[in-house]
Parts: sequence; C-alpha cells; structure tokens
Amino acid sequence: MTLLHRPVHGLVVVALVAAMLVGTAAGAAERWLVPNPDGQVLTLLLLGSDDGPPRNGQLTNARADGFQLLFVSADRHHASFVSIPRDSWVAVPGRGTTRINACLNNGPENCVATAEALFNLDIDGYLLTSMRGFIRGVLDYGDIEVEVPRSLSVGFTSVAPGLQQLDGKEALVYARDRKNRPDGDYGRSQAQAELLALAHEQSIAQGDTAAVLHALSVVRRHTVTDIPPAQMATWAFQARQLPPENVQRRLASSRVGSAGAASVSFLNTEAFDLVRDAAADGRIGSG
Amino acid sequence: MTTTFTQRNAAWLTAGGVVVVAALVVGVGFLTQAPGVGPTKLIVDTPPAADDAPEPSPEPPPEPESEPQPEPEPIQGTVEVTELVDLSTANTGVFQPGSTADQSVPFDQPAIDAFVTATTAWLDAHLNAHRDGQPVELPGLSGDAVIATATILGHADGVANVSYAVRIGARGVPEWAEVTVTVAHDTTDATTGTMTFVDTDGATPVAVEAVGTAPEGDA
Repeated sequence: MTLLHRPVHGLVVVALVAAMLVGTAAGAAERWLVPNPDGQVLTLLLLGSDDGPPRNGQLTNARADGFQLLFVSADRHHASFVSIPRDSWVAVPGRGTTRINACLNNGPENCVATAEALFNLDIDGYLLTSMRGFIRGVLDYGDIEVEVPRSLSVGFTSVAPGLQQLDGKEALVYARDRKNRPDGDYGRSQAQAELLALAHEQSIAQGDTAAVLHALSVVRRHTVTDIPPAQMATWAFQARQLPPENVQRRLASSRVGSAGAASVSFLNTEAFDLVRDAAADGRIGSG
Repeated sequence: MTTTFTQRNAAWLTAGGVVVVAALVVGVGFLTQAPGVGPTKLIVDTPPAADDAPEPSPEPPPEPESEPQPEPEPIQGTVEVTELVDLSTANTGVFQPGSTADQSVPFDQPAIDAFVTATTAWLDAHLNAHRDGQPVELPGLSGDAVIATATILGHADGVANVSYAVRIGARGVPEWAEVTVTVAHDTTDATTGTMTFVDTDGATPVAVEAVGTAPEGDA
C-alpha cells in the first residue's frame, strides 16, 4: 500500500457510519417514535487507522490516515462531512508540529484533542477502524451496488466496469484507486462521495428497526469508540430524520508544501472557515 | 366422556324434581292470599286535572342496569428470546487476529435475563395502562405514543394474548433489546398487531415502530 492510497479507507469508515446515521428515513415515519434531539449540533471524529496488511501495527497507535469530521445539525435533519488531509501539518499534542495522522500514535483520544485544539471544537465522540475492520464491515453490512465507470485495481484486487455489487475488498478498491482515474485524487474523492450516497440509499431502502439495528451493530462491531452504546443507538434512530440529500461533503482545502524534507499540506484559511461553518449548524453554507 | 343410562336417568329425575319444587312454590303463594281479596291493583294518587297544569312528564324509562363487567385479566406477554447478537469486535478484523483484543466476550446470561425481564415488564405495564384508559407517555420520544400503541392494541377488549419476541444485542452485557410485540384479538374481527420497541436501558424505549395490524393469519 502506498502512502497515496492510505487515506482512503478512513473515508470508507465514513460510509459505514453515514449509513448508520442516515439510517432509514423512509417508511412509515408517522408510526415511528424516535428520541428527541438535545438541541445541540453533534460532532464526531471518524478515524481510519493505517494498521493492516502489510503492516502489523496496532489499531490504536498507528497513523490516522482517514481523518473525517462529521457534523449533524441540532434537529438531525442535516449533516456535513469535512475531510482533513492526512498530511496536514499541524500541532499535535505531545508530538509537536507534525502531520495530523501522527496523532493516533498516542491513541484516538489524542486525535480528538488535536482536532479540538486545531479547530476550536467540542467533539462528542470518535469512531476508529482498520483496513481489515472496514473490509469485513462491508461484508457484514452487505454489498454496495455501484456503476463502475472503468477498470480499477489496488494490489491484487480489481473491479470491472459496469454495474457491480461490490464486496468489502472491492468497495475498498473503488474508494482507494486514484491511479486508474484520469482525474486522480479529484476523481477518487468523487468516488468516495458516490459510495457514501449509495450506502445511504441502500440503508433507506430497508425502513425498519431491524435495518437500523443491523447498521448499528456493524458499526459497533467494526469500530473502536468512546461513544456509550445507548448514546450511539439514540443517534442512530434520530438519524432516521436525516434525508440523504441533506448530507454534504467537502474536502478541507490546503496547499502542498514542505517541512524539511517532508512533503506536507498546509491547511488554508478556507479550511478553518469551512469547519467553523459546518460546526455552527451542521450545514455548509446554506446547506 | 360417555354418559351412561343411569346418569341420564338421574339427570331427568333431577330436572323433574326442580319442576315439582317450582310448582309447589307457586301453589303456596296462591293459597296464602286472603279469601275475598282479588288480585293486587296498582293505586296511583293522581291530582285532579287542571287546564293550566303542566303535563306530567313521563317517567323516564329506568335505565337498564349494566351488568358488572368482570375485571380483565392483566396483560402479561409471553416472552421468547429469539436471538443474541454478538456486538464484540472478536473476529471482525478491527484488531490483530489472535490478539487479546480480538478475543470473544462471553454473554453475561444473568444480565441478559434481567434486561429481558425489565423490558418486557415495562411493556406489560404500558399495554395494561393503555387498555385501562390511562395516559400513555413515553418521555423523550417524539411522536404520538397513543398512535403506536393503539395501532396494535386496537379495541380495548378482546385481547386474547400478547407475545414478545426479543432480540438482544450484547457485548457481554446487553446493549439493546429489540422487542416485537404481537397482540392477538379474540373477537369476531380477530386481528393481530405488531409493534417493535428498541430499548437500551431495560426500562424505556429509544425507538418505537408500530408495524401495524392485519387480519389474523396475515400478520
């Protein structure tokens, strides 16, 4: 796995979590009683550890190559994902100024502390998984139907063009491959957004408590989190009121530079404005 | 059981005895009336009619005395735990295979039993309260609790039986219970209704889904 590939599996974690959070908004909503929101914007940190073959590191003290902030509006009707580049050169508690993904070397709580200090946030919880955790999570959750525009491959796994039911490994390839996309990182980001949208649609198609609990169980089993189980269940059912078309996704803008010999990213002012905007009400712009 | 000839005769003899006794009672009543006194007449003290006197309003017909209704049996659903869902990270790839963190977490059966008991007891109480006309409140939940409950309970009478099919999600100890409530009505328009509760603390639900009612056999 190359460095350029590593950030992506964290984004796929987002797909799992988003599927859970979006839940099953369709169906006989008037027959549902769901927990009242607490009137506060919900802020979560979604982390993808680079632990996994060929590495044999530890999940909770590897590198956070997937680093996503998720904001859900106080009424739970809107949500925004903000993707933070893993090479962002920032202050990490206990490690000085370094790449943001190094925060996980000191555990996921340190990543929470990093993001809170960097963006002046109050994060409600984190969810962390690994490459294997993601792959098996998709296997548990169910295949994702995707219209694949061209042949894609990472390592020994490839995906053929056309309408495909992607299993865990194939979904990971779809989210990770940039070399086979003419627009590189941009295309890969679009693919990740598409994957999220499709996961949302599939969740919505199954509109009952069993579907919500299934998604909740997949996330619970395939992540490490500091969110109490009852709280996670409450959020999952609240997310029934979150239509997928109200979920926005943006990449925090940055410029490529160097720090010594290392190639890194410097977050632009717009990136901080973006996070501040999303954190205010769970929406980007007028949302 | 086959009725024997002797039993049938005894039945007839008993019936005959009852008839004879009834005849004796009637006869005694007739014979005890005073000689020369005819049948009792109803004497009504009616005031003399006057033109300006208001028409006496007719006596309202006596309201039929309502039969005292027997107290309905308290609803107590039968409980069946249909599935235990393992929520541990064992064998999910999250942790290194074979590592300590990857080990499975055994189910805490006493904790699960207590959780199921608490949840279904809460549901029993909720359904009984609704049937008895008491206000239904589900604090913290949006929506109309009565709609959800009434959807399956329907009419207040004729609840034949209630059953709870319980799925438990547990990482050692339970984290949630999904209870599908089925109410069967034993009436001419027999229906069954189902409703699903999700509970995370053994006391009150975090979500309720009223699935609906259907003619018996279709649910």
